[in-house]
Amino acid sequence: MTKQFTHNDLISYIYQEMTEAKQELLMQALHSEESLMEEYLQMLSTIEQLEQVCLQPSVKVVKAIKAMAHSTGLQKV
Amino acid sequence: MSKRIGPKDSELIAQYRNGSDAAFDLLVDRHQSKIYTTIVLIVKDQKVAEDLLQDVFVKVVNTLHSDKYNEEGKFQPWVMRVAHNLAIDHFRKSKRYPVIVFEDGSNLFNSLRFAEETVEDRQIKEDTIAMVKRLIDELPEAQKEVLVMRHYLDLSFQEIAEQTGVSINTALGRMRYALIYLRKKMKQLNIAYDKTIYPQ
Repeated sequence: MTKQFTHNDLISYIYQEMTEAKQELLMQALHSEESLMEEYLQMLSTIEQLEQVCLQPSVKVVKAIKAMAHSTGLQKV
Repeated sequence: MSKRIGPKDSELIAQYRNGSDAAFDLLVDRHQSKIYTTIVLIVKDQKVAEDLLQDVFVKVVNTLHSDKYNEEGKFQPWVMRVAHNLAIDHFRKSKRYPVIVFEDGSNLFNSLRFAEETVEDRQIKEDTIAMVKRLIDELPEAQKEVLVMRHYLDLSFQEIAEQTGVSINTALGRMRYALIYLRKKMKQLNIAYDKTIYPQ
């Protein structure tokens, strides 16, 4: 018997917020339901894109933060 | 989601409290990008985000110096909460005068860190990242809030539900709609399977 999973379940699974028992059932469903697997892969690829958004503050600001921590004076630039 | 090597945050904090500036430097290097990215996504302004990033670490240092820190080794969730609260406070105060610097993306993305790449590769990546960020900015506020809180702040859907006053299912639904929107737009823009990001 296959449990009916929703898109919300897929999101819980991707972000590892699902009980182990439910994870096991979902993994079985992914193997047997092509459309669910396709949805899962598409969600994963979208989430992977979010990982690309990784910004860096300027070197000046990072240096200022470190200098602030090294001293007792909490000066901002 | 990435694996971390080196000493634990709790060890670095203990070393910093014992006088090791190098330990604090490592803590900053480890977390600054994630914190900064989250703040930029909320306040949409690089200069403001840098200012708030400093505020976050001023609060971190003050807390560590005052012995009030008691996060049982969970530095990252705590510092991300501090960053989120400061960013949201700022966002609420300045909501009447939204500043979106994205269209002037050259400044915003000049500071992105890239490995050894050709100029062309770098440009493609910059464009892709800028596009994804713009799509995130286009999301309805409630969906964007959940996406940022879950993906960049690492809050659980349970925590998001509590903080935003909705059910877990609603939080999950908002995340789902956000992902559906992003996927649809990415397909239209043909960036979902960019070969520079998914090399064969």
